[in-house]
Amino acid sequence: MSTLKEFEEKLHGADEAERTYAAEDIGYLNVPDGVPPLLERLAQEPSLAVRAAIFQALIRIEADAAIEGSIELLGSEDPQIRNQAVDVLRRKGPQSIPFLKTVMREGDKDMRKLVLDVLSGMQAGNAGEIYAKALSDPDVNVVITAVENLGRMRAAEFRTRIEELMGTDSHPMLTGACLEALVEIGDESSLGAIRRRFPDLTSLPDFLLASYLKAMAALGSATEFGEVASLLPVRGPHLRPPILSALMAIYPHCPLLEPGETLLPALRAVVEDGDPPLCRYQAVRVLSFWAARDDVYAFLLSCLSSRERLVRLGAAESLSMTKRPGLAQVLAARALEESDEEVLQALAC
Amino acid sequence: MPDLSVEQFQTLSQQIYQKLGLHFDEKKIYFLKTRVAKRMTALGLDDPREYMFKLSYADPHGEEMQALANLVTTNETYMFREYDQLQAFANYCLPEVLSAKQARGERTLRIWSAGCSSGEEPYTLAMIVQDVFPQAQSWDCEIVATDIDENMLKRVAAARYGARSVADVPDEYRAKYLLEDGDEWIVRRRTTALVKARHLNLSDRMAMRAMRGFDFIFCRNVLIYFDDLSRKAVVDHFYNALNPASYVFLGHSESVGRVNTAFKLKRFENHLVYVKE
Amino acid sequence: MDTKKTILIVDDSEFVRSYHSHILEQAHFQVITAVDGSDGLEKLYSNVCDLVLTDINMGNMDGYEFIRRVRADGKYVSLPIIIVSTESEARDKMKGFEAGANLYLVKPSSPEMMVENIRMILVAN
Repeated sequence: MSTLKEFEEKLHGADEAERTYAAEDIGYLNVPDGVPPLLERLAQEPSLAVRAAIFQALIRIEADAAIEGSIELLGSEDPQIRNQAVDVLRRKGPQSIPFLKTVMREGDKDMRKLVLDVLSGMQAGNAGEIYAKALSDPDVNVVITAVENLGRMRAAEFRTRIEELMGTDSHPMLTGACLEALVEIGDESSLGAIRRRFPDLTSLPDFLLASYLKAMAALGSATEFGEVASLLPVRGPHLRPPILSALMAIYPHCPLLEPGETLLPALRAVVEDGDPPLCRYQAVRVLSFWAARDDVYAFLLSCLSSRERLVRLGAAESLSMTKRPGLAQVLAARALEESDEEVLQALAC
Repeated sequence: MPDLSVEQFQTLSQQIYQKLGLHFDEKKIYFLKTRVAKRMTALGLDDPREYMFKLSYADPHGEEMQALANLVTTNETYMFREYDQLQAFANYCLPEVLSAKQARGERTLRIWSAGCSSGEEPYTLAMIVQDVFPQAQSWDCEIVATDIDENMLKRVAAARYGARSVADVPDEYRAKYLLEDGDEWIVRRRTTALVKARHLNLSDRMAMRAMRGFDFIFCRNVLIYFDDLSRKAVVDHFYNALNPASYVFLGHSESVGRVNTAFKLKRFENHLVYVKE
Repeated sequence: MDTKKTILIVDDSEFVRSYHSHILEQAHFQVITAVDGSDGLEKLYSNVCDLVLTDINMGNMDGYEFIRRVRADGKYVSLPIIIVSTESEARDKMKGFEAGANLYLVKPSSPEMMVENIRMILVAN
C-alpha cells in the first residue's frame, strides 16, 4: 500500500501527470501531514494542472492544517496562488473563521480584503465580529467588499451601519456599494435615508443612479414611480434597463397609478427603436400595465408583428395576461404566422 | 409567471456560469424565466429574489442548482448534436492533428467519447473521421466510447437507432454510413469497427488514470450533472488523458476554461475550442 | 460616423462590473463584461474589443495570467490593457507591466481619471 512518503516522492517526479496523481492521492489520504509536502511543491511547481491538483488536495484534507496552510498562501506573491487559497478557504466554510479572525487582526490591507473574499460565500452571522471591524477599516476597499458581502447575504443586522456609511462623504464607489446593499436589506427608513442623501436626481452621475434605481425598485412606491418615470426620456440609453426594471418592480405596489403625460410616449419610443433590444422587451412589459387603455392595447397588438423578436415576445407575454373580447382569436391567428419557438410558447399561455 | 428583471437574469446567468459552467445569453431570457418559474413553484416562492438568494446562500449541497440544471439542459441524445462544434472538429481540429501526426510519421488516432450514452455521439464521430480522413482504415484508429450504464453500452454494441436519433444526419453521411432497416437505421460495420464500447465511471479516479494517449475527448452535456469538485476532478483527468496538442470538447454552452485553466483557448474562425498545448 | 469603442471589463465582483460599466457607458463607450480571466478570454475572442480593463485578484484565472494569454496571441499584441486593482504597491505595478499591461489604476479609481486615461490610451493607439 502506498504511503505518504511514496506520494511525496512522486510529487517531485518528472512527469506532469505523475505529479498530478501524487497530489490527488495525498488529498484522498486526508491526513494533516499531507499539507506540508503539498505546500512545498506548490512553491516550485510550474504546471497549472499540478497546481490545480494541489489545491484540490488541500480542499480534500479536512484537518485544520489545510486551513492554516491556505491562510499562509494568502500572503503569496503569486495572485493565482492567493486566489486559489481563497477558494480553498471558502469551501472550508465556517471552520476557517477563527483563523480568518487572526488575519483580520494582523494582516495588511490586501490580506484583509482577501479574508472578505473568502467570507463572500458564507452566511454573515458566523463572521459578525469580522464584519463589524471591517466596516470601520481604514482601507476603503475592505469596507466596500464588506458592504457588498453583507448586502448579498441579507445581513439586515448591519442595515443601520450601512445607512450611516452611505451618508458620509465617502468615495462614490462605497456610496454605490451601500445603495446596492440596501436593495437587499433596506426598509422604509432606508428609503428615507436614501432620499435625504440624494435629494437631486438630475445631478446624480450614472454609476450612482444605476444603484439608486435598484434601491427604488426594491423600496419605492408611488412617489418614486413618478420620479423614475421622468428619467426615461432624459437619461442615456444604458440607463434604460435599471429605469425600466425599477418601474416594473414598483408598479405592482401601487397598481392604480396613472402613467402621466410623458411616460407612455417615452415607452413607445423605446419599444420602437430603443437600444439594447432587451430594453425594448422591458418597455413593452411596462406599457402593458395600462393595457386596459385602448391606445396601449392597440399598440401592444401592433407589437406582435414587430421585426424584433424580443418585442413580439414581450407583447405575447403581456397580452396573454390581459382579458379582452376577441383577443384569444387574435393570438391564435398570430401563432399561425409566428416562427420563433419562444414567442409561440408565450402566445399559447 | 414571476417576472425576472433584466438585471436578475444577468445575475442568474452569471451564477449559473460560475456553478455549472453554462452560458446563457440574452436570447435565452424567456427560456430561463420559464425554468426558474417551475423551480419557484416547486419551492413555493413568488419573488425571484428569494430564489436567487436560495441558489447563492441556501443551497449548501448544490441540490437546487442541480434541479435547475436538469431543467435547463436536455438529456436527449441524437446524432450530429451540436453541429457547430462538430464542424470545428471536422474542419479544423481533426485535420490539424492528422497533419501533425503525418509529419511525425505517426499513424494512430484515438478519440474518447466520455459518457457516450446509447452511442449516437461516438458513431457520429466515427462517420466524421471516415469522411474527413478516408485513410482511417489503414491507421490504428479507435474511438473509445465509455459510459457507466451497462444498458447503454449494450445499445452502443447493437448500433441500431430510431428516426429521432438520425434526423440530423446529413444525407451524404446517411447514404454512406447507415443502413435502413424498416423504421430503424443500423450503423454499417466499417463504421462500428472504429468504435470500442467500454464501461467506465468518470468518478473512478483509478480507472480514469488508465485512460491515456488520446487526441480528442468529447464529454458533452454530461458534466453539468456533477458537483463542482467532481466536475473539476474529471476535467483534470481529461487533461492527463490527452496527448500534447490535443482537444477537449464539452457541450457547446459548457465552458472548459471555467473548470480548468491549464487548457488553452483557441479560435478557428467563429469557433472557440480548448486545447492541451 | 464615429463608431463607439468597445471596452471589455474583467472583474469577479458583480458590483464592480456594474459600477465601471455605467461610468464607461456614460462616457459613450460600449461595454462587455466577464467574471474572470477565463471568461475574459472567451469574450475577447468572440467580440471586437478596443481596450481591456481587468482586475487582478480573481478566482479561476487571475488577471496576470489573463494578460499573459492575451499577449501570447499575436492578434492582441497591441490591444490596450489597463489593470484596475486594489493592490497599490510598486512591486504589483511592475508585475502588471511585466505581464503586458499598459497602465495600472488603483481601485477605487475616480471615474474621471479612469475615463481620461482610457481616452488617452485609445488616442495614442
